[in-house]
Amino acid sequence: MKIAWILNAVVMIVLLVALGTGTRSMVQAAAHRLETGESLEGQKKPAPLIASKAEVAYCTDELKTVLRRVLTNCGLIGGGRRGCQPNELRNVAQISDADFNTLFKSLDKRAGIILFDPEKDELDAGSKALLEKMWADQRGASYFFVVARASTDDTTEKNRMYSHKRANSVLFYLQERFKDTELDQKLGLLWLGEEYAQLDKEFCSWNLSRPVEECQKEQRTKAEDLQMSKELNRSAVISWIDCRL
Amino acid sequence: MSKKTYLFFAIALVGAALGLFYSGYSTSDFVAHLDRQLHPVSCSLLPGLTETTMLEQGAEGCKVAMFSPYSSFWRDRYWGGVPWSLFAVGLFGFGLALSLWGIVSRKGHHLAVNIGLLLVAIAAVAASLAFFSISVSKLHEFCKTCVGTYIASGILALGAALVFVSSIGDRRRSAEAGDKPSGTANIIAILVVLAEMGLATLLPVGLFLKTVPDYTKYISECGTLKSKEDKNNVLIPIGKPAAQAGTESILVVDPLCPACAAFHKRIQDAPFASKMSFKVAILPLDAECNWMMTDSMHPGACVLAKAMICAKDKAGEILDWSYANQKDFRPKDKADNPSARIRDAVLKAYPQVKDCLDSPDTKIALNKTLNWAVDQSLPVLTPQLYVNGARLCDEDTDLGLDYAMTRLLGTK
Repeated sequence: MKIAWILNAVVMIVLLVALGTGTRSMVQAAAHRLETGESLEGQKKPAPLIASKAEVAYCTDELKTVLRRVLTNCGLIGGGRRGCQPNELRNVAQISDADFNTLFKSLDKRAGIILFDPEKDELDAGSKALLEKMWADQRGASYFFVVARASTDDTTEKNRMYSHKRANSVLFYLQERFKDTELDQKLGLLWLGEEYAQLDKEFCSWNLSRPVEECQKEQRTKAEDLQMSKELNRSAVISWIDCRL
Repeated sequence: MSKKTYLFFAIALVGAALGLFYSGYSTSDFVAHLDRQLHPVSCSLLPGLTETTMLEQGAEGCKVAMFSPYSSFWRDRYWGGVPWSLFAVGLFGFGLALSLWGIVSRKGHHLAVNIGLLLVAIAAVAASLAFFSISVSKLHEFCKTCVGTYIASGILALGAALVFVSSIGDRRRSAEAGDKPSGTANIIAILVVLAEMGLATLLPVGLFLKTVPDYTKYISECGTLKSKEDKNNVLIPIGKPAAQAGTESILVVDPLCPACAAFHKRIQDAPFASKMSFKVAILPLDAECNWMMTDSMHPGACVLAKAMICAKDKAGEILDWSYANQKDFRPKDKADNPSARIRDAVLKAYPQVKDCLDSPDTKIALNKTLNWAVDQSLPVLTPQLYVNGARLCDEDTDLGLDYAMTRLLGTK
């Protein structure tokens, strides 16, 4: 009987040691991985994507530089008064008209052009619809640009005034329609009159608030070309800018 | 001891060995997760012999069982809790040792050994029945490794019962031969066996509790909201009215994310939910409205997000409805974009949102919600839970949920 009890003690000790070391080693291994971040499968957990503003392909360094200058000098970055006038903009942007337009052409899918009647600054139904649609489509953009222009029909002073009023029409409509308290921090107004960066025929393919008859024609006379240019430039180009500035 | 009793001991030994094998695997899987990482779970009647992967469909039952609140206890005190399978390891281990000893010492027919083995078998069968009924009634899933343990319990019980019956004759024959222990010796032997059983069963649990690390520092390392302010009113209150509000909690969810549906339900059903008031921040992982997504993970989620915005105080109802219909709203193949289908379903179920669904104001409101996520620098993933501004770590959303929530809610 004694041998049986000794055997019992041996078996129990072996059992308890096995249970004890097994449990301890499993928990300690997990605790070690917890402390060191090591993985049982040797895989590293990828860092999650963090929510951020949009930064799309057209945000070239050049575009961002120009935009930053415009935003800083036209009141959006760093506070101050809103808007940039044509005679300032050339200095502010520090690039030629052609280069300015080339930079903005990359926004063709994102932007719209609000067209106005001659010597007018009222928004028609099509303009309002396009403006609402564009404004609502902010996505990850931080700034909404309104670049108003005038055709070459009138004097330079009058054209400056028309483009200024057209830019304001857009601003006032957005204020009235959406009552966005952060609108001031988002909206950049530029009025270029007839003096800077007039829109050319390539802008016919943009999202227009109403059709421009001359744009549809494959062959145009000089007079039709001029008419088309005038209609395109009695306008305000509107676009969200999907760049982190 | 007769040959028959030897044979029946062998049956009990096989049952106990199998039980130790299966409960050991269950425990090992559970304990592996104490590193707060995700691991494959062994889910087979032959664990260890088949390769396990994270995405293995066949392992679903074992994952459900392991992550369910029934796999462990004291989850609010210890991260993940104390797994019940640890008791099984001790119990089956003791059954194995006792059977082995009975065979080797040729004293297996003694009353103390019979009673010990029978108690082990009764405890194993009772636990198996309890967990089987939980699988049927609560989990609606079967874990193959658990089934292995049930089978092992049955074999052990069969062996123990046969040993008990067979030993009666053996003891009579021994007594006739003059080998009859006194009453006191029997009582002492029974007490020793019971003490050994208790020690074997409780030792793994005791060592587990002594070795398990302190998780407190990990709970609060997953960040906080940059600001608790919601200046654009993008957060949608759901559940109980604000008047009865508890700790403010923000759930970041995508209406088409299956993990969100499961997590939301777990949170709502949890006992600590009564101490919380919920607001939802919608984060559709759908490139149609979410510029942060290169590809849509849940196409059509933007439509549902807009429907929730339009529904105002019925937003919670639409969220629940979306969760319930997730299977129907999934793309049927790679080319399928379910947005139009989801839109039709929304308008059929909630015709009142028709005029609002595509309005610029709704688009703006959704955009503001997404920009709230940007302002807060949230990770672009769902679900997320913020309790009083502190983020519940992803690692704590399953086994560690009760432990983490107890600390985030300040109830410990």
